[in-house]
Amino acid sequence: MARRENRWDLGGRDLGLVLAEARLHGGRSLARDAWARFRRDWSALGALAFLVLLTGVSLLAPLLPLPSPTTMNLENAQAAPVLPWEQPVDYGYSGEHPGLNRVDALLVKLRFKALGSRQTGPWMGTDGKGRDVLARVVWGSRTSILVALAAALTSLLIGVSYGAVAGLVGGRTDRLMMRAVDVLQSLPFIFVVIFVLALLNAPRDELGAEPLLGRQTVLFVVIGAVWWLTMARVVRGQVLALRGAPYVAASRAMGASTAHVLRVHVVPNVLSIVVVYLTLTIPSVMLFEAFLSFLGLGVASPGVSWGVLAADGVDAIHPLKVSWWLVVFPAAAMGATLFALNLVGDGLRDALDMRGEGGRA
Amino acid sequence: MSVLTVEGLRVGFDTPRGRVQALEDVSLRLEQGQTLGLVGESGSGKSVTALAILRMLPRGARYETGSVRFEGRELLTLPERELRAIRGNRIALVFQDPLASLDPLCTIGQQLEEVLEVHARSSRAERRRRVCEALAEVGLPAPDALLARFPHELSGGQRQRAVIAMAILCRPRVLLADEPTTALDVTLQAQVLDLFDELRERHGTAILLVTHDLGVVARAAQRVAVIYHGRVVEEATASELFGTPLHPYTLGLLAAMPRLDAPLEHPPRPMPGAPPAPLDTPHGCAFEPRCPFKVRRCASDRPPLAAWRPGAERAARAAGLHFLGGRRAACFESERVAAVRAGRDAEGRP
Repeated sequence: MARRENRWDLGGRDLGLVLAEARLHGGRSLARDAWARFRRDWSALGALAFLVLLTGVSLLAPLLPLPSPTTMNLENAQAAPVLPWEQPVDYGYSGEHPGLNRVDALLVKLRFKALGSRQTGPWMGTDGKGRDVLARVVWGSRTSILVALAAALTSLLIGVSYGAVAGLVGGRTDRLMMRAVDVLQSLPFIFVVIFVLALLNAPRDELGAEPLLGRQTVLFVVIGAVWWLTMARVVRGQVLALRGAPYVAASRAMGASTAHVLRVHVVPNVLSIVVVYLTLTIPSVMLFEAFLSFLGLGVASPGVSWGVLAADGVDAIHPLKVSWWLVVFPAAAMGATLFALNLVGDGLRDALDMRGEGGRA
Repeated sequence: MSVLTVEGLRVGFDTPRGRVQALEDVSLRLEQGQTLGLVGESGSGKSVTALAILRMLPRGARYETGSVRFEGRELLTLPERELRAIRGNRIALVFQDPLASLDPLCTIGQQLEEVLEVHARSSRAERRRRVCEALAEVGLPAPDALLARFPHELSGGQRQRAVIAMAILCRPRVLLADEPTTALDVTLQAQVLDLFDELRERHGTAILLVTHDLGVVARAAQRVAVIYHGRVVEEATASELFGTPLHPYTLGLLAAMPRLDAPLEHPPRPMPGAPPAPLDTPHGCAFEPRCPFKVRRCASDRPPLAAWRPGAERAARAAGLHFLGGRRAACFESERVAAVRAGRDAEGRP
């Protein structure tokens, strides 16, 4: 029998050597395959690079030589943008920047020490109150990214665990948990936001005190409450499918406990879908934030966000004086970011899709 | 010597439309170093039987009556914790689809080691060594190179071997194989069946081979149990069963089997009719509507699985032969069924 002949025997060979050899041969994990596929997708790769750049710029905003996004200068209101090489440097930065947290304030101070009053010229023009649009776009991106991260985190923590529990436990618990999700999902969230803000603002008007929760906090709470719902559904569906997967049954047949099966087989297999879903969630959260801010329900002045900029852009619609830069630049920044996020999400989905080429041998 | 005995196992599933009786009455005996083929058509309860032995049936399954005894313990009432120590260790299960039973995110080495992690306290090096040995034992060349491979990088045959290696890692006394060859081509089928034979001979493993393929049974099993609508209707040694079937269902199965050596005038004849719907529980014999041998009482009384020629064991012992076990059939008209096959063999036609 041929089978007997090619039987392999560890024989006298050193086990360590054999295993080193095995590592050398290596296996291509699906993650590595996915990364290789993702790298070939130049549009997704470019989008990823753009997002990394954007995140870097918005994180380092206090250090960048930008004008203050909140300092008004009514003499220079609604100034048209100039090309960067025509006026690369401007002076007039005062180092004043109210409403910053301690770290940012420190960074701003650092920047003021190093660069003095130097700042970039009005490359994107100024708004109706003479504030620099470029600075506002950059500082506004921080809010958008923060909100996106908050949504990602809540949907990751609440959504994944909630969905996994519902899918694994199943039965009546599952039905009850998913009905709760349905109820939450059917609430009109705009009204919820208005209601909560109205509740929180009422005592302030009467007593002249600060509200219990700032508007930004309310925004975060509301977004957190909405954005884990779909994630919970997605994860639950996936876990339900995985619970019946033959390799899960095989692992149980090998005597593995439920906890072990969850840890070793279910969670890693759900993860790829979670990652893809997350990258596709973030743009819609950004849009939601912009929408709420546009309506005046989100970030309140002096805070800046892309939604606030869009609301400012409405002022640019003026029959006598056309200030196109108030609309174009914020819209371009937001559009590019959403586009990049969607490209990355699509690229990830293609890369992680095992049914694609190279999946099944 | 019986390693595993299933007695009068009755299993139902609770569904919104009522209780579906998956197993009505299943009794099996697995002997050391012997392969028992469990044959039946789709939905007859073959796989349910294999899964029920390890209490691996999905939620909603009700183990109503009967017993599954292994090494003097009752598996149906064993605490989950103790049962887990048996699963994969003393009794191993091999599934049908080798690709689907391997986690796509784990290497072959990781998955096999996982079994040892669960059951054996041993060092990492020791585990690696045992995994390599098991892979070599199932005839996978150069197992060292396989350890770091992922399932999608293996061929179908390699995967099935890896799955079998996983099952024999802990040297189980019983191997339950649920359609292990269905997903494989004929060449690989033969190799896997050879492998089972070797395990059986070398380690005395008792094998339950669940299949719908009579060819596989003829090749690999010493004893055969035929299951129909959740009941064992006939049990015999393979040669007896293929020689003179005692149940009309077995006879029908054999007649429906294409054979290379059959004369052209006797093409395979498919069995007419279909098995009863899962929710049906007929009063009499479940095969009665399709049976060409039926008599009046078949519709009202249920024929028990009764020993055929009870003197056979004594006769075999007296003749100094190894007794493979009595044969049993659940049919009132076994005599007539047996006569048909005998007549056909003598005259060359039914």
